[in-house]
Amino acid sequence: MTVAKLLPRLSPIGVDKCLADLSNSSDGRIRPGSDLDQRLRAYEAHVWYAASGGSVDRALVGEIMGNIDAIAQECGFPHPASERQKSDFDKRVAAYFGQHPDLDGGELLRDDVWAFMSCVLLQEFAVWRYSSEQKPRFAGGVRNTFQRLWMRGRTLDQGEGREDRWHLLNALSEDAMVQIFERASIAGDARLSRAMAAAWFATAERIGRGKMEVVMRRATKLLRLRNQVVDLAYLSDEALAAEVGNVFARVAADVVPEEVEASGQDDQPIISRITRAIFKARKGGTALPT
Amino acid sequence: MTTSFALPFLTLPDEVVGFRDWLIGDPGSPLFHISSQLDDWDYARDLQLDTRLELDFAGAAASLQIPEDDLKLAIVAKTGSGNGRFARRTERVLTKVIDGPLHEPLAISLPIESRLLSGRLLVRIEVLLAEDIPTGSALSPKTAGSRLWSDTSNIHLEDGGDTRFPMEMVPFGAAFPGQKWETAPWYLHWRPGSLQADFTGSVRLYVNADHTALTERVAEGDPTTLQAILGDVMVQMCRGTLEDEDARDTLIACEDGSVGSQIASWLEMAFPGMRPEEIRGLMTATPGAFHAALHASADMGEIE
Repeated sequence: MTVAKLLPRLSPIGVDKCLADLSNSSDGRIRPGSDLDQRLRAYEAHVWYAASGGSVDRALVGEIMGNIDAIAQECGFPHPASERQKSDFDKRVAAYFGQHPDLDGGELLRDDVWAFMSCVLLQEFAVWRYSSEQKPRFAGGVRNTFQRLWMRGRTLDQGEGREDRWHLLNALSEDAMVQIFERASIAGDARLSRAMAAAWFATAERIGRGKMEVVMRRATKLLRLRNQVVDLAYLSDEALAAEVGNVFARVAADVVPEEVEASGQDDQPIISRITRAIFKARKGGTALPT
Repeated sequence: MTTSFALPFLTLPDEVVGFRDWLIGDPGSPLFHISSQLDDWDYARDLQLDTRLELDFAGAAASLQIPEDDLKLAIVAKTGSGNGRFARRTERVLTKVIDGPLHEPLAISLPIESRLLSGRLLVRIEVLLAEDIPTGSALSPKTAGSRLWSDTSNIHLEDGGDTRFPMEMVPFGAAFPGQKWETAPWYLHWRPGSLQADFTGSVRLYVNADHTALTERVAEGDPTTLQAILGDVMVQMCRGTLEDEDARDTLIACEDGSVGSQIASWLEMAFPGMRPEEIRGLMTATPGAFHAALHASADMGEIE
């Protein structure tokens, strides 16, 4: 039996202390470069562990701190970050969390573990990535600076050894990520999430990323409704991809009318075929459907 | 099955599915009926879920208005965990396709790895349409995966929170090689002077797994063994605090859940009504009585 690795947890009062320290002055902030003991001591009244059932692993906590530090440095920390640098940081941290063999247990489903990460262990990087004023980036939850990246990394991992292992993680826009991972009914199902990510990418390749926000929002609504009636997760990989792809294609056709033509669908109503023929004739082609 | 919306096709009534409830417990031990809370859970306690379905296949075909020969049903079970309205992570753990009448109830047994759970265990069993079916009436389900019946159980996992003493069993030979306490039966890790620190965050008792007989007695909840260990913990922490004048004065002001408040409650239990200064006097004058009083108060009685 694999022994669970226990991680430090931060109480809600500890989160409040962190936010108060960050807003009042720089005195209460954890100094960048502080070691683990200094960080734990600063929050010792609010940090706790599971009482039993696993083993406290300080080495793992130290390793996380060191790796995120290294990624942040390579992305420009401590200097103000550009949007591209922030995006690179997110992708690299998500991939790090996604591949780590010790970061798959129930501990990582706990909000208070991620509150500890953002408020204590990795505080300076959360402040650098966002600011010190956004509570959801420090408290645990789907918007926590690092919890959201862990969810993305664990879910969008295409599998060890694959050349395109992090393709979806790197390809999706922030808006698409939010649509998937802030919808609990979707985010809890890794296969459905991956299928939606793949369909987003395929559609964006056809119609351009600029039109994808509205497509993604509408497709997400339709798929959530569809999932209430048909268990999408039951379908085979191929059937699931086809089902999700069809929804994206339909929505894209509504949002971008010329997409109907580009998608090459041959089951359009006759009025649609006639309209397409007229449009084609105006552009200099033949007026007869081919 | 209860849903907050109407499905756009015929579904299965409970009596056709023949599901009662889940049994849950420790693998290899008698299981008990599932309830809304599972006590005494932690990551090391793997679980087993069992149930039986007495599916009436002919009744299902009639309910769905699909010819019996064309009907294929899928029994699907999913487990999930993580707090929130929806589980943070769900996984399909069973798929069984039924294409004809069952000659005996379908027995389902699911092993659950507790290491992957957090806060709650969600278990959902569903009957789906296994394949696309072109036959049937206008109201019959047609599409593979159509949801025909479901039951969802949510179990809160009671992990003790901060009411359980923080301890773990580790082999000291591997965990503390070369340390002076490598062969000790147990080791209390704490730092005197941090009375405001959270108790479960700053105190941890390590029991030496290299001492097989000891760890067996701890795991079984042997009262004498636990009393000896807890008594020693109380002596160490109370003594360390009473010897520090500043710490003695701080004890009263410590918040619930802190190291200081736990020490204060132990002292009150062993020496009711006495002030810290008086207890310190007793500790200095009659150390044997001081130790014995704390050990006596560590008596937890028989563990059920």
